[in-house]
Amino acid sequence: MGKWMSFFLFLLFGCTDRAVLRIKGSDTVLPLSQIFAEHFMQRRGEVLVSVTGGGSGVGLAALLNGDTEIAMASRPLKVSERLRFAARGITVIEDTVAWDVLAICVHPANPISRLTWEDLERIYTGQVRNWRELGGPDLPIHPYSRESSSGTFEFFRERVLRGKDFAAHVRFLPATGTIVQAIAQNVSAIGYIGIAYTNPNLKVLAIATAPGKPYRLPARSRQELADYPIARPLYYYYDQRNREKVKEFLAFVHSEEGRALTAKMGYVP
Amino acid sequence: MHLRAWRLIFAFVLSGATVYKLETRAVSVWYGSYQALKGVSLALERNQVLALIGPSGCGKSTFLRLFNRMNDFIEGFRLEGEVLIDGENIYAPQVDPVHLRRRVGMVFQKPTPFPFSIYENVAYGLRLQNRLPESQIRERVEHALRQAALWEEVRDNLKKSALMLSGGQQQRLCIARALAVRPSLLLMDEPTSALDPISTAKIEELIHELRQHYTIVIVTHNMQQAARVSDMTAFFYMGQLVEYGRTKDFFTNPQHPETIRYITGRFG
Amino acid sequence: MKKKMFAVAGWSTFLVLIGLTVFLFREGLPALYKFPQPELVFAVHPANPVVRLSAEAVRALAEGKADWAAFGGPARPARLVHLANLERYLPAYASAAEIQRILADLAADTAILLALPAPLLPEAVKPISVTWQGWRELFGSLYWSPTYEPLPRVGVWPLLVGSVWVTFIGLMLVVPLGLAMAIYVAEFLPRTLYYPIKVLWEVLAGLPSVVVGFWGLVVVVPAVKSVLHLSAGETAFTAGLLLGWITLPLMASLVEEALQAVPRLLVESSYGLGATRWQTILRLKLPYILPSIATAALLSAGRILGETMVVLMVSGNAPLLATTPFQPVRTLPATLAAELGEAPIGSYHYHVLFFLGALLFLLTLALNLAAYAIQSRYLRAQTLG
Repeated sequence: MGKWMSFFLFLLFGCTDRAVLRIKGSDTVLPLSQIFAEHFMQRRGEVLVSVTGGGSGVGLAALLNGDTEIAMASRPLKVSERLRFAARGITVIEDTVAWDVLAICVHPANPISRLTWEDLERIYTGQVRNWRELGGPDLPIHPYSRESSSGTFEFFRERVLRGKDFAAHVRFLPATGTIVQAIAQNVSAIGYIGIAYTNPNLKVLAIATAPGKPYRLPARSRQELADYPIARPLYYYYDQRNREKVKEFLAFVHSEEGRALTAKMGYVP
Repeated sequence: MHLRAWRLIFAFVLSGATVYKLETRAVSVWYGSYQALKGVSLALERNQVLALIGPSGCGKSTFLRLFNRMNDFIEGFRLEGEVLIDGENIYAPQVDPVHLRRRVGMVFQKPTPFPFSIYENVAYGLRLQNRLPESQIRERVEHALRQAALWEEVRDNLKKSALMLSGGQQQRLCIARALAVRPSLLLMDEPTSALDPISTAKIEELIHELRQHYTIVIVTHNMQQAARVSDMTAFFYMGQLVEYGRTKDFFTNPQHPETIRYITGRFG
Repeated sequence: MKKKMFAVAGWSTFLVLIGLTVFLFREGLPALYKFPQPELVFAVHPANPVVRLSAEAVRALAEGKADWAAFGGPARPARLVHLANLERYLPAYASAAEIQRILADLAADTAILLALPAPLLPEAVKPISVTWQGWRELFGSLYWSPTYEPLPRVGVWPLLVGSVWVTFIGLMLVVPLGLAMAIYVAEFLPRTLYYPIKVLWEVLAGLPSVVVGFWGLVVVVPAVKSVLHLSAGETAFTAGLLLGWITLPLMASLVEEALQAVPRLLVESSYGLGATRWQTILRLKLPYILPSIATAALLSAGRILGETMVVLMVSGNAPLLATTPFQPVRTLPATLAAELGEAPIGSYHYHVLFFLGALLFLLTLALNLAAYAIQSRYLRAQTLG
């Protein structure tokens, strides 16, 4: 929807001499960028910001070819991409615009309210199959996950499970909304979702990074991320040579107003 | 059983005359607003063969189907008058048409074998009623097949599909199937219209044999056939019984001009 | 002229279908002989005597389930460095030279197992060969995890078993209920309601499966959970239940048409022998249309087998080798729907998904051929005599 809107805006104003700032890439970052663009254009009418999705890889490829000023990505640059930029002589600057913090949720009736990182790993790799083993009720654990096509899935496997594979009994659901639904109606369920999707029908767990470390609820600020690292940074990448062109927009993103918008969208600025 | 016997005797005493096997009294039939039969009265004695003839749509099939209440399935069917079998009004409210049909066999214008074995076809009607021991069913199947002059041809192939038989054999199978439930009345709706001349001859021969034990009503388009197989002939035209009499007299000395036109073949 | 137009339309459709089938198999068969990570070179420390590893051995080393000693190497667990976990070892802004240096340092560990593109590979390492037997991986493994690094798990059995469970449950529901519905509509429904009911069926059959899936998720999943006292409602049973329900109009209308097509004279023959309405249905009509019932059941099975969206939402999608229908399952089409969009074209994951597609195609083809065979044998029997 927003994609088309920016396309039409481009058609309407593309041929005028307004300065154009193109942002392309990850669909995860897309709604955030659209909000930024809308508010930025309200105060700086002479700049046209066009935002397009397509995926992290698509945006970075466009950056490589000079087809976009800013590439949105929900993952860091791959080594292969770094090498490719280096081969073209492009120095890429990485700007972390926000953090997509994952909340680990259970049903409100589940007495468990905190877990260690190890517990989480053991749950999802199938070493722990009953809540009793974690001090909870005698109920089987039903872990839920996003489908393997989602970036959240990749992040969770690589960072939380440290590269280990999901157990075969983990249920995979096609959208975050369906996971919320599943947890809300099942006392033995556990799942991970972006904090923006949490609601009173779910109980968000406090997580300790290691035994003996304090248990923390999902971070709401960048300072808290050190103790709650189950968060995925969302990036803007740009060519160092375009620094001047993007400076004003990035300044807006990191301004008081931009950070408020980020928080409103359910991300940590 | 007793009730029926008593009723028979009662009717006999009341009428003070012969109780006919079949009798209709001023029978009119409507399908919706269309009147198919108009005040037909007719009586037939036991062990006689009655042929119903007439042009298409004259009501002869409707008349035949009155005797096993097959018309009940047709939407808008309505009847006035009385239809009696053995003196009993078969349209009386207490009569169950399902029980009636077990006393009245029917054979159709095309062979209608079920897609089962020859044996199961004949046993079909027997298995519908109270459970008979298999030995008794086997006995009655054989008897029915012998009566229908089919036994010698199929005795070694009883387990084979009835669909493998020839058309004439299939029609005799259908007769055997109808006889197996021991009816006293047999209705035949153009039974040879789909058969070759040899098969037709066999069926006609069979009708001659069966006459000794059964009362038979046969609808036919073929006047030679009516003349060959029947004792009585009824000519229907536009829902009315135009002429009814002994077959001998009927064809040699017809009374009504329509009858004459029909049997001399000068009919539209 | 008109004849030509029809011929063109007919043949072009046929050719497109043939083309699609060829495409399906052309894209699917490489799953049998291709190596999943052709751009990666597997390498170990020169002091490590291992020269060849099976795919299973690589995965065991990667997960820490075995150490090098099991394959003739040093008695230490392997330290795996591959493209997906490389970032852990690199600082935020590593230059190409820095990356090379860090990798060289990592390669000095005798327990290292590298899986990297050739240009990234440090000089002082020993490449080893990793054997991959597509046939054995597809049909000899009980696990499905096609994006697992460095080597995927692509066992099709969990998916096949999942599909079979869902189809079986669906049939258990659709056959008796479809028969009951068909008998009711064909035999007992007042004629004035006949056409409204038929239209309603068509509408039911045309309900978007996403709608059914969502309804299933919100209503049926919790209902199954509480009624059957399960600890979770996303199961093969739930999916089968919903799919059976979706397929009901198809099954019922096929059977209903067959019931209506029983020759009138046969039915009258049955009544003429003193059969009641029920006796005629049970002893004549149902045996008579048995081939049609079998055909309808096979076609329904095909429909259930191929359904995607509903299954994706209510079956739980766990690639588990389910032993009861009350476990979550992942079916072939749900896997295709969930993963095909994200599998890069030409990658091994892509080929494996097309291989699943080909399997599904063959299964559906078998069902349809069986239906066709029954139908034609029955027609031959009908025309005999």
